[in-house]
Amino acid sequence: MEPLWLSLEIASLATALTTVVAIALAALLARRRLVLVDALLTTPLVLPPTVLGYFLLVVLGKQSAVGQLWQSVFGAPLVFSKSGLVIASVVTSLPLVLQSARAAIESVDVTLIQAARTLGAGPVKAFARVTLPLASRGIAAGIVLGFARALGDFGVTLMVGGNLEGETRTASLAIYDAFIANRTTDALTLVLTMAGASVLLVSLATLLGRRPHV
Amino acid sequence: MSDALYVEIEHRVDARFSLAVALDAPAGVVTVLQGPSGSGKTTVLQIIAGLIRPDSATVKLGADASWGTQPPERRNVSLVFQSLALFPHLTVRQNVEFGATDQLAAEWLERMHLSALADRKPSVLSGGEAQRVALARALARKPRVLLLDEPFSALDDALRVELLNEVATLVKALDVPTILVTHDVRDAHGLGARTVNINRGQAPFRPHE
Repeated sequence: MEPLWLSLEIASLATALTTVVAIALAALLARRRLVLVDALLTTPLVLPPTVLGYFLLVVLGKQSAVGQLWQSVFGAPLVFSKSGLVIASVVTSLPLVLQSARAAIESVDVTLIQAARTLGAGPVKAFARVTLPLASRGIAAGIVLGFARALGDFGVTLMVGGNLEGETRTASLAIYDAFIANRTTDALTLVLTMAGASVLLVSLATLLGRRPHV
Repeated sequence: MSDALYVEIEHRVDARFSLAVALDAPAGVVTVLQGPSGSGKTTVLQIIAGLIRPDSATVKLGADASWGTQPPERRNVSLVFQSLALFPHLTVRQNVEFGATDQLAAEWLERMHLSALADRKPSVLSGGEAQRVALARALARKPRVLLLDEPFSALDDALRVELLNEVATLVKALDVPTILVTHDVRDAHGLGARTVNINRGQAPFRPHE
């Protein structure tokens, strides 16, 4: 059961970070055409996990500026650690949350935001009191999908985290290990748990995305 | 007597449509900006409210020319949108309180006969009730300028005339410059107000008697 708890822990931390970053970026991208930024942030969705993992190893590795800064502050390397996996999960789940959040924000009637502005709200207040509440269901749907994505990652996790028991062996990696070692019951238990969780999460996302706000 | 609004705008909306509008709106009366659909009336209001940055414009309130360069939230201008733009996630009371003090909001809810509906969401209101909420929300913040973008066009004739007369009375009492945009000649006549005609984006300044 330990790999499951580890997956949950990493996915929860990553989703919290992703949510903040995705909402800020979605607000920026919703009203402006920044094609290249948009493309760069969405690419992780279609990149082979090994390619994304490779890039992350280069950016976060012991030789990189980020890796060295991390090591000097926390005294341990960022790659092959839980923290490294959290960052990797943020990168892989960000496109899903960002796309949903952006679509939800774009669907808010512009005249409502204009009304808020003429009623004395600056851009930030108008966003917080009008845009965000009206887009909340769509954003929540994206967050749930992002969480499901972070929970189930295999390829990037293996590249960036290795497969260290208790540190980076998440449920997805443990399934592979159990399968290779012919521990069929272990593998099946984890497979069914993960499949059940995924179906539940995707159903929740669909429900959130479908129902009107008011 | 409050400050009058003076507006002079030159603005290229797109390749085929440019605005050239000059008008003034004294306080305490409704100035009707009348013209056919697509003549640029709404754009004029959006520029006055600060929601669109024009190519070139002088928008003065009294002698204050800096007023027209402020962002919308600092102009204290209330715009009642054609769609009314009531916040669907907020109650009637929260809508009116959005830009006003709780006390003023309560006063205007009472004044517009909305107290009984205060805790309802806009989606359950009738057309006339929603219009009153939009007006209450616009007036509760004591605006320095009031802009009305065909807010009553969806109502039947009797209710429209009633609300227009109510607006004229309020505007006189509040002594605030008010521009009402409409494509309906009857609105202008009904109000007995000053009228500025706009046609294909053109409304040259003609001083009123």
